Amino acid sequence: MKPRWTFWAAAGWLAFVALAACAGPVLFSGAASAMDFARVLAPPSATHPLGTDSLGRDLLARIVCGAGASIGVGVVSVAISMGVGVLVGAASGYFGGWRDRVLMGLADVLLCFPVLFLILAVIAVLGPGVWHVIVVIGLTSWMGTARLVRAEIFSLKEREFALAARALGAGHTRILFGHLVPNASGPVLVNAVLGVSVAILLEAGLSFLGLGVQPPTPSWGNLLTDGKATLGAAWWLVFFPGVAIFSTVLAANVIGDRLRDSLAGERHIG
Amino acid sequence: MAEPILEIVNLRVRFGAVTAVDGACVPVTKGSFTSLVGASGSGKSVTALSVCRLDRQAAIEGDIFWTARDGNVLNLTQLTENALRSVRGRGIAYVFQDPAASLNPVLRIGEQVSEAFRAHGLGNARQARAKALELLQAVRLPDPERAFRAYPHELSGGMRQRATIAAALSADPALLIADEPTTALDPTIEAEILSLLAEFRAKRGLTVLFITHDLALARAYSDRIHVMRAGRVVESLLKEGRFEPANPYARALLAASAFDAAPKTPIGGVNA
Amino acid sequence: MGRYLARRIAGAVPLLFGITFLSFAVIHLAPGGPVEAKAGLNPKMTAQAREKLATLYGLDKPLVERYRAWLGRAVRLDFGESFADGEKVSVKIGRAVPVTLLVSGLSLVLVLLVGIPLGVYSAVRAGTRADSLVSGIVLFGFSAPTFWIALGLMSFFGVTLQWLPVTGLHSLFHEEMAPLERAVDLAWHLVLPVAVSAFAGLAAVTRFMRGSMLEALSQNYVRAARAKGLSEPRVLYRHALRNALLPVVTLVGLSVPGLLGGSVIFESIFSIPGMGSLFYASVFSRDYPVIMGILVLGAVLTLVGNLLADLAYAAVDPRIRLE
Repeated sequence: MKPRWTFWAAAGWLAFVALAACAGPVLFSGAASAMDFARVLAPPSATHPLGTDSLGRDLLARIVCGAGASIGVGVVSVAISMGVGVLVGAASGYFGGWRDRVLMGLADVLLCFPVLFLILAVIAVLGPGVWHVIVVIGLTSWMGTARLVRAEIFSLKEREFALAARALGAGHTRILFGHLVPNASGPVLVNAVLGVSVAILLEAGLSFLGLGVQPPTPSWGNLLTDGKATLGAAWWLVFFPGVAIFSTVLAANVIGDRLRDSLAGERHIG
Repeated sequence: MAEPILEIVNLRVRFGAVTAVDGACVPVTKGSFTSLVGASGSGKSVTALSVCRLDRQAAIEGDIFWTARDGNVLNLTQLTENALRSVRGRGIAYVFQDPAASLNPVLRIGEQVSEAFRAHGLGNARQARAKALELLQAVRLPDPERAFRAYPHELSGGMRQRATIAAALSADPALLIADEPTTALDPTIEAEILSLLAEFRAKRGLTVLFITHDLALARAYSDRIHVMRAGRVVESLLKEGRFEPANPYARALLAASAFDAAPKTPIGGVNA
Repeated sequence: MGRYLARRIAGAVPLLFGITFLSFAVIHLAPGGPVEAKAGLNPKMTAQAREKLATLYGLDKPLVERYRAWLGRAVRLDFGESFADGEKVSVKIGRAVPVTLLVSGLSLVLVLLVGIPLGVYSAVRAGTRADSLVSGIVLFGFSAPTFWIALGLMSFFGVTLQWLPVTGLHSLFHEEMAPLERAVDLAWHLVLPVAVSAFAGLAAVTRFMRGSMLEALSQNYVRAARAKGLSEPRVLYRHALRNALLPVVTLVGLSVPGLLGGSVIFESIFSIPGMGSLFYASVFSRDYPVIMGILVLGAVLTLVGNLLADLAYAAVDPRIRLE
């Protein structure tokens, strides 16, 4: 089947990127904004391993700094969407009735919008910026997780251990979050990992369109905007930021797929 | 009459590290109703499926001697896939346990009953249709024309199994291997399906190899019974010996049987 | 079938209310509201003019009332006038929709023509190197940002090799060409956008088809078909594929939101005047009437797509009765 090394390679790469995301903005922001006017639009060389952009800034430093924005958006927005999704799904599944209908109705309405349309509309209203992007992505991606958690809770609600807990006098919250929700944690985790890859792509797209992270702060997406402006003249400005996005998203997808496969194996027995 | 049509000799079937069949020997006489009986995990189904190499994961060793229509004896374990394909359906046919699963839900019954006939080049479409209708009639389906046009989900469980029997007989096979054909059906229909098989054997000379876990059921219809346990045949019983098992395992199997061979009076009602 | 349709449409009505209300609420919660936006475009507006505008837009009335007024106009397809140039929103959108339909439609066809065979091939050869290769391609498709691929292709085919045009739908002297020439010119301009648009969808369809085919191949009726001595092609195509293709008919309807969302990015890159680039431009210029119109239209199209997907599936699966 799939070789095991792909999982560890992906995990290793993600760890490295995460490190860059944390350390980059702190250590390299100077290098990222330093303009070397002698070497504007220079191809990769010894001094600038990945080349420079139209203002002479070092691309490698900018990419490392950009990791902070891209990964930050990816992780935080997924955290928000997971949080909202779990809460909504749990409430819906556990209480049922009109609460379920209202919440799922809201989810259905949100699902009718093409994702980018909705995000763009909200950005139009709030204005561009990193935090707006994070919140919007978070608030428009929770539906899948909610459905998942709701389904799990429906099927687990009447199982023995939940009934036993109720018999022992446990309150709603305790049953819900102590017993029922943890059982759904596997698929939710898979969703989270795959969600990060989607969020990174979304942020990149938004920043590319000029609606996300605003220059001069680098993000992998807006680095590609620069690349577009100088299309044909500086291939490195298009290639390297794209590789950064691609490799990170790929790593997240590989890990997500692996998790999903191993979970499927386990659940067959349970 | 005592010529063998199929002879399984020292069959060994493995799935990776697991040995499902460990040196089984099963002789089947031409024109007989032979049963292969055992509990779950005894290797009986695997043995049956291995005759025509239907399980792609299985590693098969041993010999399976098949006497073809023209008298030639072929060793099925040594045949190429192409050669084996001409034996499947035409020489040896199968009926499986779950009729709902064995029928393709998106194709009509008529097509599924005629396709073996067409595939082995036995005639054109018109002839295939005629043959299919004849078979649907022979398996005692109440309205063969309607059944021909129907989709599997429109028939009941018993009717579906009759249809799969018709489909299996489409290319006039000499041997029919029935792998637990009634286990998924109601007991009331069980006897009907089995008597149908017995009737085909009597009237058309069909050899039947019947796989089941129910020893008493096998006793009611078979000429010969082979009892399997842990991948081997532990006892072979003949009708002449009145099927009294000497082997303690076989005796336990008999005691565990649910089948009651006493004649039954029909109470009328839904005709499956 | 008619009753089922009626029921589904009835079920869609609350969704339509939800969609329109949500869109309305989001836009009108803009800081300052539409008046500020319009005023922002025209700094010389006097306080008096602003007040008149406010009354015109009914901003003195509560949100729900405004919504009802807007909704009343919207069902007659009157979405107001664009802030940018005063043109009727419905006309603006009406011009853009066919363009997006053309590109999306072509890309969908491409995706199905390539993705379905690729998925089937990969399923039949499951576990082999060929299968791993296809899985690798699928993973690549899911992970590479489409705009990066677009830029790469543009750079290579458009700038370096100069084989394909990279902007717009027509060349400069488009009007003076003969019809056949015009068609070829259009086709030439469509190659890159359609290829880019198809890219992401291809990965999804291939993976989906592979899963569906594997599922079908594991069914007992496939074993029963082999047991009859049927040829392998007949087993694969008449039996397994026939079943595996059933869920695929839903993909066409379900791909609407993905195609619409994707159009925002690649239409901007290739300067194609479709719904996506119109939406993008109107977001940048805070042209709220246009934003609303496209938002609602996009959601309605998605809803219709879902409905069509269900109907299509029910039409091809004999087990489903529509009561």
